[in-house]
Formats: sequence, structure tokens, C-alpha cells
Amino acid sequence: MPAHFGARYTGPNTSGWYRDVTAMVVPYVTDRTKLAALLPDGFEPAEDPVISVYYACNKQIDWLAGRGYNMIGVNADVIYNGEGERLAGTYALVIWENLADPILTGRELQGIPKVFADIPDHSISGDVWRCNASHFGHAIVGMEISALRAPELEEIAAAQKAKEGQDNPMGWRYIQKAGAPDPALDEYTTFPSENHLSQIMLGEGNVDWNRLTWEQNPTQFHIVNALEQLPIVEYRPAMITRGATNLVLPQRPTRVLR
Amino acid sequence: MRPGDPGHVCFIGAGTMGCYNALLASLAGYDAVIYDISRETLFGVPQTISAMGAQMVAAGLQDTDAVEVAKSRIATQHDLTAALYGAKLVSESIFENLEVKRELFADLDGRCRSDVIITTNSSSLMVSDIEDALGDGSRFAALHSHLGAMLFDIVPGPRTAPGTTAALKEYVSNLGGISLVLNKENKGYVFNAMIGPVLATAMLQVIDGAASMEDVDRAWMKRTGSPMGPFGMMDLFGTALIYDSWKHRPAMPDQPLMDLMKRKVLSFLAPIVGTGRLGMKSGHGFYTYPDPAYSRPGFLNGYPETSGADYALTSAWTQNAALIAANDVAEPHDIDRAWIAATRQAKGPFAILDDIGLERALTLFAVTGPLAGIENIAKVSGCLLGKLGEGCPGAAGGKGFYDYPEPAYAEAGFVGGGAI
Repeated sequence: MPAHFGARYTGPNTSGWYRDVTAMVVPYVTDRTKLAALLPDGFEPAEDPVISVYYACNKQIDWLAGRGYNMIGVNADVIYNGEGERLAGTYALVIWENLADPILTGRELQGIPKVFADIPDHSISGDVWRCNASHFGHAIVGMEISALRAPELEEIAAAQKAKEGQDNPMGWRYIQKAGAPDPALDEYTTFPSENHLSQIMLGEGNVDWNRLTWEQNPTQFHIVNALEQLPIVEYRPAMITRGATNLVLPQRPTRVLR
Repeated sequence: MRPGDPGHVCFIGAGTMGCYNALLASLAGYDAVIYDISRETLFGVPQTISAMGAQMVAAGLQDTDAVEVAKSRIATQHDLTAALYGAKLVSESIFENLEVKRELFADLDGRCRSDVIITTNSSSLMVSDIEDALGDGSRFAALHSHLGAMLFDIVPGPRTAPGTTAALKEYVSNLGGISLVLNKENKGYVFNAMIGPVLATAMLQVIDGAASMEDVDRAWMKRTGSPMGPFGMMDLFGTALIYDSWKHRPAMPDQPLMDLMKRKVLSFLAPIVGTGRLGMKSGHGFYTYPDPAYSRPGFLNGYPETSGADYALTSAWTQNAALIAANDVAEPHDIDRAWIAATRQAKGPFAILDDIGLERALTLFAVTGPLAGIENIAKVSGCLLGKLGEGCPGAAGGKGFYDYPEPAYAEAGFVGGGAI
């Protein structure tokens, strides 16, 4: 949209490559039942009910003519049990981004649940990396990773093995009919991407969810509070990465789940 | 200790360097026996030797027949007593663990006849760390080879007999190699003590976002005329080798910056090595092989003669060369010879310092920081200031570490063969 002007320009330099991505990921085990309650029909938490809160500082983005933006998202490890397929992967509960363009395209084209927030670049103070998101001047979430170390080769190999067959990010593309409560569009999607990591550090993570009122964040307080209600049972090793990401894979395009 | 004399050369450790050294010896006409504690590793020796031989043939360094004859001179042995029986020279290249090496050398000392020379090929441990494990230190020295280069460092220990050093020089000469006898031991010998900081600086340039991998390599290729840059070199050496060398560096709690650098480098190398990108031998490292990007026409097109990456790499290289000279490990000309012998580049670091001009080089060092260690600033500067004090400002002034317009390094036979 706006549809009457035609589709967004695509050309030789508008690939899906994000050439310089710095990311922080803090995974933790949560309560299985409470997580299940947030998932739509057809999805169940994975055997290990892990939530991953991640931040990405995206720079040199081809389709934005070299510009960038920041994001903080929340993924849940899930299994999709559809009528036509069963898929292990992650379900995007929400992604905050600080730029309208990727929010609109991500929601419209892929069904990724994106909303806006102010997300400054991460800070590095000594050995501690920090990032945060806020909206209407009120904090949503803060995250930090400390006690950094290089990964062992065995950890890299194990992570690679664990990812095999599980690299399936999923979302819910849902648009309500105009003037009616029924959906005009209601489909589950998967939107694979490709990451080339050039640097990995492991550490100890911490996530600090805020609790908000309608007055503080009228459009998102229910999202933030729902996530704040998911207990942090146990942190898993946190990770800081640098590398490049490609969001458009011709061999694995975005598709509707069966 | 000529080829054909009675006795063989025994190589302890069937890893890359053990196999490589055995192949060099057998190509020179020596009989070689490779021993390893692991039968599985020994089982892989013929394949490793064949691959190395094929690489030498492909590079035009050997012909197929010579390699086949050499392979027939190499035997493997799982029994140490049998491997040592009749040996005249023992070369150790097991993994870099001091305690294990000391135990091994004490054992070898007891097993070998008194006329057998015992050497270590260790890259990171010092002769003085090992030599007192032997009762007879007169027959022990470091004999350190470089993969893909015919440069051999010889480092005598405090008890090494002159005859031992002379025999090792003769051995290297018979291999067709160039020996560099160090005045005293030095961590990383000479070549590794320069190339190590260059590789570290290259990685930090990329890690810190100062330059891309390709631009770092372009900067080095432009400066040195080398066919590849630091990342191509790491692919050549094997990324796992580089990773291991950093992984096994001891922690330095009193030097937090060094520990931070170690963590940064390992964080950078782990995703490469951990995903099987082991370098040229695996077809994929920092580049993909065959036909890596740096060897394609136009790779250097448009890249400036000087750049931030160039300043950093050149500074790391030449500062560490100056430190080696200042520590009286080797003379500047010998350091250049060693570099040229190992890399086949036209100039060594002191010739490059002359090109830059010594005053300007001091400014460069000040701008890039102490890349040979903050504790060595005075020594590094002193090496150049001493030369300036002698009225030798560099090539533009007609005199530097060399005399111009006809510097010695440009003369045929500067590197030569035999000993430096």
C-alpha cells in the first residue's frame, strides 16, 4: 500500500541483505502452560519452553538503500501442528522496530507481528552490553549481557546441529475485515532467513520487562504485560553476534503454512 | 649428517608439521620414520603426505616422480622404541603442551644414543622451557620449520654443543633450506613473531569494523606485492591452526587488554572453524577455493596505495621486526632474509621501514599505537632512533638499514641458501 501507485520498487540493489547486523540474544525457559496460552491454535510450545528476547542493530540494508534500523523481538520455541504439515521452529510473539518501513512491509508481506518503539543503539560499558525499548516515554524492556567469552568449537557445532530442521521462523498474518470482526486474512506463515555470523560471543543475559498501564502505553501495554507475566524460570547462555542476514531466500521463500 | 649416511630421521607426531617435515627430509634423500601415539593419526599419514606432495607438484616445486620416490622413503611406526632404533636425528612436533613435551623429551633422552640429535619443532614453547627435561642438553635445540617455506629457525639452548648447531645447519642445507640461527630464543622465533601480530591486527581491523576482510587483504597485497593478504594466508595455514594458537594462549589477568583481544579473536575465529571452514584444504575458509576472490583479476583495482588498514598492518609488522632486532635475537638484514625466504616477497620489514623513512615510521607507530606491546615502546623506538642517530633516515636519504641506491636486498643471492 498504497496499492494505486503499484508495488514498492525493486531493482538490482534492493536485495534482502542486511550487511552489518549486531545482535544480542537472551533466551530463557518459561512456564509451558502460560506460554501455550499466548500461542494461536495449531501451535504448541516446544518440549523445552524457551523464549528468546533478541535485539538487532541493522545497518547497510540493501532494500533501504544502505540505511538501517533497530529491533527488539520475542520468539518462542514452538511446534506447529497444521492440517498439512508439522514444523518445529520459532513463533514470533512480537517485534518492536524503530522504523515504519520494515514494520509495514513485514506485517503486510510476511505476517510478522511488528509494532513501533524507540530503540536506541546498544551501549557497551566495559564488559556489559545493554539495549532497551520504550514507547510514549515509558520503558518496555531492557536487556543486558555480561561475563562475555568466546564460544567453544563444540558449542558452535552443537548449536548448528540443534538448528538443523528447526530453522523455521513462523508468524500469523491476520487482518480484520473492514467494519466487521471477522478476519479478511488469517494465515500462518514462515519466513526463512539466512545468517552469516562473523563473530560470536557467549555470556550471561538478563531481561527486565516493565509493567505498564493503558495511560503509559495505550496501544501496547497488553503485549508488554503479557510478556512480563511469563516467568523467567532459567536463563540459557546469552549470545552476541555480528554478521550479515539475508531475508529473501529464493530457494526458501516466505510461504503460508499448510 | 648427509642423506645416505646410516640412520634415519625420526619424526615424533604425525600431525601436519610432522608429515611436512618428513616429506621435506625424504625429498632430500633421507629415510624418515613418523611415530605417533595414535594409530588412527598414523593411518592418515599416507593421505596427508600424498596431499602435500600433490600441492608441491601443483605449485611447481617438485615433480611427480620425486614425490613418489620420497613417499617410498617414509615409514610409520606406532612403537617408539622401533621408531627410534637407528635414528640420527629426532624431530618432535606433537601438540603444544609443555608438560607432555617435557615428559616426552625426558623419555627420548633416556632412549636415544648419545650421538642422536634431538630437536623440537614447537612454535610457541621456548627452548628454555623444555631443555632441562633432558639430562644431556648438548644434543638438544629447536629446529623450527615453516609450512610452505624453506626457512628453518635453529635455536640453541644454553647447553647446546656447537657441533649440534653445525649439524642442524648442515641438515637444513641438505634439505635445500635456509637456516636462521637465532642469537637467543624468542617467542614465535622470527617469522612467526612478525606474522602473528600482522594476522592479529588484520582480524582486529575487521572485528572492530575498521575495514572489510577484502580491504585488509588488499592493503597488505598493495604494500608488500604479496599474492594474498592476511586472510588468504590464514586460509593457507589453516584456520584451525590459527584458532588453536589463540586458544592455547595463557590467560593474562594482569593484562586485561590482551585477554580482551584474545576473546575478540576467538569469537571471530570460532564461527569459521566451528562450521568447518578450515581454509584452502577444505575448499572454504575466509574465501572459497579454488579461485578465491583475491586471485581474480581486478581485485586490487581502485584500492588506494595507503589506507588505515595498511598503516595498521605495516605498523604491526615493522614494530615487531624492530623489537626482534632490539632484543638482539637477529640482525635486521637477517630478519629481512628470513621474511623474504618465508614469503618470497621482494622486501622484508627493514627495507619497508627504509621506504617509509624512519622518522615517518616513528610517527606511524605513534598513530597506530604500540603494536609490539606497550611495554616495548622504548625498545621499538630505540631501534629506529639509533639508526637515525647514525645519520641513516631511510631510502630517501640514501642510507637507512640499507645503503641506497643499490640496497643489498635487491642483489641476487641476498637470501641465498644455507645459513643466515
